[in-house]
Amino acid sequence: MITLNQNSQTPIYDQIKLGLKGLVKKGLLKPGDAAPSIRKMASDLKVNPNTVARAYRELTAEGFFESLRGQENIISPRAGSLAEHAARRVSESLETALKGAMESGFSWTEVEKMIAALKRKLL
Amino acid sequence: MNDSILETKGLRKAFGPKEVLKGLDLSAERGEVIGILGRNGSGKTTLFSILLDLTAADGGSAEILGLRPDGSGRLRGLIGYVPEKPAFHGFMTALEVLEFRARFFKRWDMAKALDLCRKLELDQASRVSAMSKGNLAKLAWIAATAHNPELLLLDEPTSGLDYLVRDHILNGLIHELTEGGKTIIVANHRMGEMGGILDRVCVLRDGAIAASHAASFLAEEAFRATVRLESPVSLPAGVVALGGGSALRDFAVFGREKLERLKLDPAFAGAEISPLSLEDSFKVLLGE
Repeated sequence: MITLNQNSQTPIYDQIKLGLKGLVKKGLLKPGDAAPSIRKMASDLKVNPNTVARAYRELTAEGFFESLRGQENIISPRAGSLAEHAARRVSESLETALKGAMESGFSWTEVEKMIAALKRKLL
Repeated sequence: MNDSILETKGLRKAFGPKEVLKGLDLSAERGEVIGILGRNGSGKTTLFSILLDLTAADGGSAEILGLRPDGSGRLRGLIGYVPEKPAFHGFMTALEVLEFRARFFKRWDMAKALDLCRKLELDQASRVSAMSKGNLAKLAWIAATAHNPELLLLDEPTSGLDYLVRDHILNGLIHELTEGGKTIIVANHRMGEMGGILDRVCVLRDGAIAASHAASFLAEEAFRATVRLESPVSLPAGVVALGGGSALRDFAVFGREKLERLKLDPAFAGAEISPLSLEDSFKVLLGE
């Protein structure tokens, strides 16, 4: 469901947040759905439940989860726009990286080769 | 969080002329998950048996859950222990082992024990003498947790187990953590699989805790610098050579600040920086 990169410098709780937003963006989770419980998520990812709890707490604070009592882990109607927002940040940083590549003297062909190599690595 | 559950000071233990622990200081707060990283024979098992009040220390002090190991065995009832090589009476069945142990632990929860048997797929009627390594490990896990201990000491709980059994044990561990308040100290040679669960990693070397790092620090601030070196360089603290004999060399760098400083060194100007995997970080910490 969510894949963690244990070697990434992005903290695990951030990866969990991004992963859940990604699931909403892909339409695999919809407002009103329950996200996996903390225990389930921790077991699936083999991480400390405190780490999942932190991600869920922040997601609740951001409005991604409903904040009503007894409704923990329910995807809120606002989740979609939050997921879009997160996705836009990714596309912005990609743009910055590509601009940087151009300025450093990479050609488009080289950049495309780099992207193809990354795709093989990530998928 | 300032709720100390375990504290040892200057713990010493020798077996004959062989000094195993030489002044070990370790502390744990409630709810912490601590990984003890040490090579074979570094004294992890000795440390555990002192904490369990099974072996008396030669010197130093230990306080666990407000008690001191005094030979009375009171501590054992409050701690859950998974030994490296679990041993039960061979003639007993799994159920008999659990019933036998129930008599020694005031807080033994038989319903929990039987529920765990079902979850871990351990046949209650199977006989200990005929158990596979995996089933023995499951029984050891159930025996260690059925009395709801506040402190779990795990000595290589997953070594030599197949993927599915390991998964069962890790999930059991996560389940205990979800219940809350549990403090766990785990020794594991292959700490990588535990990486996501640990709060802190302590390195046991030469009979003492040589280093203690937050797990998040190792995950987020350990780097590998690959560089072509024409001449030998002197390495600042926090930078460890990873081998590679020729001009092309690998270094482990701990801490973002150290990395930034290293980059200022002209010799490292062209270094390729990548994250250092948790497994590799552990290897460096062990070998240092």
